[in-house]
Amino acid sequence: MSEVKDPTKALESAGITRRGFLKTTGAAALGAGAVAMGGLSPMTKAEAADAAATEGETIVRTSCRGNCGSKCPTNVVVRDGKVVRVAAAELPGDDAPRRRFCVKGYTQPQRVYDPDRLKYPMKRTGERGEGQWERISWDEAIDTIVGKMGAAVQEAGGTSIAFWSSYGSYGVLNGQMAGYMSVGYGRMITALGATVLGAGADYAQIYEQSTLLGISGNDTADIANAKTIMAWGGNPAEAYIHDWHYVCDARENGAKLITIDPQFTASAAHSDIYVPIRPATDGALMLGMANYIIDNELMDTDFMKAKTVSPFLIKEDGTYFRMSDMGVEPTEGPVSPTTGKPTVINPNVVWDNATGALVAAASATDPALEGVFDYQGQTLTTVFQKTKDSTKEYTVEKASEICDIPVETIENLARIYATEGPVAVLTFQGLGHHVNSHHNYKNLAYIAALTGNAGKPGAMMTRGSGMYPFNAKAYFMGMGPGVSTTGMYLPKLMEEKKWGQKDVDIRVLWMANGNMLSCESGRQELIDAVKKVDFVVCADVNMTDSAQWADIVLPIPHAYETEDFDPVCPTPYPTYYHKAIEPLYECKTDLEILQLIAEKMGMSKIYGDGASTEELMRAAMDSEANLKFGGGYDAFQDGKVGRNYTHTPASLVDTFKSTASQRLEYYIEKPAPRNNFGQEVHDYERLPYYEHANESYWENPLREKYPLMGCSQHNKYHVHSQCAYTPVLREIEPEPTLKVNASDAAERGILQGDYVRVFNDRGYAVLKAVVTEGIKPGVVSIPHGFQADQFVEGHTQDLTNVVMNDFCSNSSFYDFLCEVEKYEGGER
Amino acid sequence: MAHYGMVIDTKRCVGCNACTTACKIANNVPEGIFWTRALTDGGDAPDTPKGTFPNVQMRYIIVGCQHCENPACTKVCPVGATYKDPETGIVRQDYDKCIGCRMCIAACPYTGVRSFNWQEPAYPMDFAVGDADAPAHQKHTVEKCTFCYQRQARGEVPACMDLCPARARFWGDLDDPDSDVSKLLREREYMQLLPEMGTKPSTYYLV
Repeated sequence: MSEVKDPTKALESAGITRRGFLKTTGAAALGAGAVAMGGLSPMTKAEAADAAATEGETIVRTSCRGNCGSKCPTNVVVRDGKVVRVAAAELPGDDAPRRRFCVKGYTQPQRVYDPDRLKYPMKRTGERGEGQWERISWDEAIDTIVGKMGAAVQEAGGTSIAFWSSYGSYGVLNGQMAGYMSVGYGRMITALGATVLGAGADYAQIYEQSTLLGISGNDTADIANAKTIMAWGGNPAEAYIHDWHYVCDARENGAKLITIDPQFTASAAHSDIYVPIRPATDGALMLGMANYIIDNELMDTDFMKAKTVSPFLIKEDGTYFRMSDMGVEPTEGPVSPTTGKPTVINPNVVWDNATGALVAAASATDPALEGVFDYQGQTLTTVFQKTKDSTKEYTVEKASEICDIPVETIENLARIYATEGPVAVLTFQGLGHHVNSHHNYKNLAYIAALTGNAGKPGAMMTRGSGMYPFNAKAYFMGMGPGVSTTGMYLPKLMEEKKWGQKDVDIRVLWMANGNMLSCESGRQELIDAVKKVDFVVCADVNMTDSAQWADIVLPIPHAYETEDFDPVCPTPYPTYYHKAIEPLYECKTDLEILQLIAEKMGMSKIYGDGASTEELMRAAMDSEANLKFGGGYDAFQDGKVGRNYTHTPASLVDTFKSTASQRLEYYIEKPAPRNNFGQEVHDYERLPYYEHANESYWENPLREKYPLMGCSQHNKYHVHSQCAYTPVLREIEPEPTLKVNASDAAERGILQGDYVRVFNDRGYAVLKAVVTEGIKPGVVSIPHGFQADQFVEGHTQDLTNVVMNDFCSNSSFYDFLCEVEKYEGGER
Repeated sequence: MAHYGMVIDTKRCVGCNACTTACKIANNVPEGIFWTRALTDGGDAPDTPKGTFPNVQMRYIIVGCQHCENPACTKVCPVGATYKDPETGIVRQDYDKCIGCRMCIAACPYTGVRSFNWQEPAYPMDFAVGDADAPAHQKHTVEKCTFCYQRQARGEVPACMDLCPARARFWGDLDDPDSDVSKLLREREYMQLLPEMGTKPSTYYLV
């Protein structure tokens, strides 16, 4: 063992009085060892200037794979057939500052050889979830799966096979973008007419902000142009560290940094203003700010008139009043690339103060922002008027009460937001993890519309990500999946055996590209639903919490052992995954596994009767447009980073090109639920709105029993549940911890480092307490990414709730109450 | 002749430990040992602040060998295993000469930056990761940050400098007035660790 003395004492006189680094544990057990590997695949030549390889080493360009959203272009160094080192790839020209990497990236040489890697197919021998496994051959695994799938399809139709995924991979061959989009999964699912169970996580933002409001966000690099940056629901210093250096650049140019968060994060530590908001009340804060901005005439009315839907008139039924309502026939516009049919031009109508008449929005010189107008007995109201009226109850005083923030602080935030722009609001899922969350994105768009904090450099409502064009047709065999919904509805599906009017009798559940039973909300209810399925398969790199509940587990390779292409572009460089080493152990890619199944089922033609990886990759990448711009498969084979040809200087700023009105929208004319099973849609879904959360709200009578409001954090030492056992990360952060405020801890007799039991009616966990002044009293933060066997008992995800808002079907990870007590069972 | 030094901007550093792991992998540092690490200047657990919520403060200080101009360690080493390289100013450690007396650990005021391998060094994998030319670790020797002199010999920067996500780290020749580090020290306020010990550290922290 090594002698590492406590550095605290020596540093005391330097002003560093506390120890900030957990003492490391003893030597970690190693299961994986290295196995002999076959010959290396042909290596990609890297640009010489970019190669830090010494003799005998080869550099391969690829990336990590996981849902951190970073997609860092990476150089992997291979020596003697082993991954020994990684580094961020240099990016050419003006993109050089976008070079990116993080603590998790640097540890990938260990993660490849993680002790919890799945090495060969296994079948369950004990009860489900008991952890008893027996090694089987690939033949036996495929035969068993095909037998179960064949019988299920015959007895209960294609929808009896369900594919459940999250955001593990977006690869065009093996990934599951939107639950099924890849050559591998898409073709199998659409050929069978199977059930798709997609992710529930993050859909308050994805559905409300991106899909319904068409807000795509500005480029990462544009953060540097902001005069004020608000880390609001986001934590750029820890949760998305690639934004952070741009935040620092802006600050060095005089920008203000404000953090609004119940937790005192590293972002908060660097902030000029820290606003400790009560969880799940951000929407009320936004409306309080809106009313202050309106009452104090801090609005940017020119922007509101020209660039937002504020002056658009709406009818009593909530739909827009258009020129056709005044008898002007719609005209045909250009052909839509998606439908292939001409677009319909039917302009919105506004009241023009200049002429005192109702006119098409584009022809008004002074559109009225406020007012109620009459057209042949119909009452017409401007969007702004209707929004203002429906949200006027949220005064600064009321917001102060709801959010537990002083009135003066809210007034100050409103003034800064309105007058010290451009403001970059870095929202991420801190605003998106409650049942009331999706309203936040309308409310934020509303305050941005009032103040002009959108559509220009430095002004954003989220940091965006680009997309490399691909050929989605390559993923479809039939019309589409039999049913496509959110995996969070699995308990409902297993109970009702119906989705809307359609019979859905799930007999086979295939889990891949995600660790839903560790990372989705409402773990215990999801496990109960999984138990009801006849046969469960899980394909993963590691033995995850989800794999533990399968009947058969299938080992798939680490990203560095896989060839694939990920079109998601947070930098202008999509990821071409070149194979750095051959798959370890007996791993097969998802595509290879699905090809074996297809062959056995007599469906091998869906994958082109044994088509090569290159042919299938070309099907996804060699679209007409990509070839035209020299951006097809061949463009990624020379070892250089291939740039997204659609990324231009215009991509830096979201100028509302994704909205029907080509303006900033905060009103939703025709709100439709994301997963439609016939549920009621409330009128308030159209408008900026606030309602309290489902369980985690201050006045909830349940707080008498469970007084503490839950939340969590996008952990810097995990990629969700990836890296759970990566040795160096567990040296730094050996075990899960619960953050509890010092006053709450004192009330409960909990001391620093005590083991505690955190619990509610759904479940409990036993873990170490971190007693801190860095979290709002009355709030606790649970860890994210640790696996069941890393807790002393239980699992913190068991505290969370399966209940979602059925409008956006979004996992509500933080919407729970709980209590904490000192654990009397001793240490493990 | 050069005098290499490091400047770390505490206004940018977020304690992410990317440098910690870059170092650990590049030098194949054994289990239980870190040559550099992010310490929280705040509460009594990592990533926690001092004060009373919400009036709290926290910052991160990255601590490794300070490569002092006037090192305490070199003076006490009975065999010359730890010595200051006159060409670079780097305080080096020769494992082959080290007899494991640990006098250097006792003498160094920056506790924790030097580690002793009581046992055969242990690793998660049975092959060495990192730089092929990083010196192998040895039982019964003291080890510490080397400023990655194997990389310098190739004209590269130390592993921790390769890409700091926050762009908080700077490295270069303190004797060269045009180096980034020299410029920063002219332009910004800084502190050093334990200046009263007279060790003249070559690591500076911008505040």
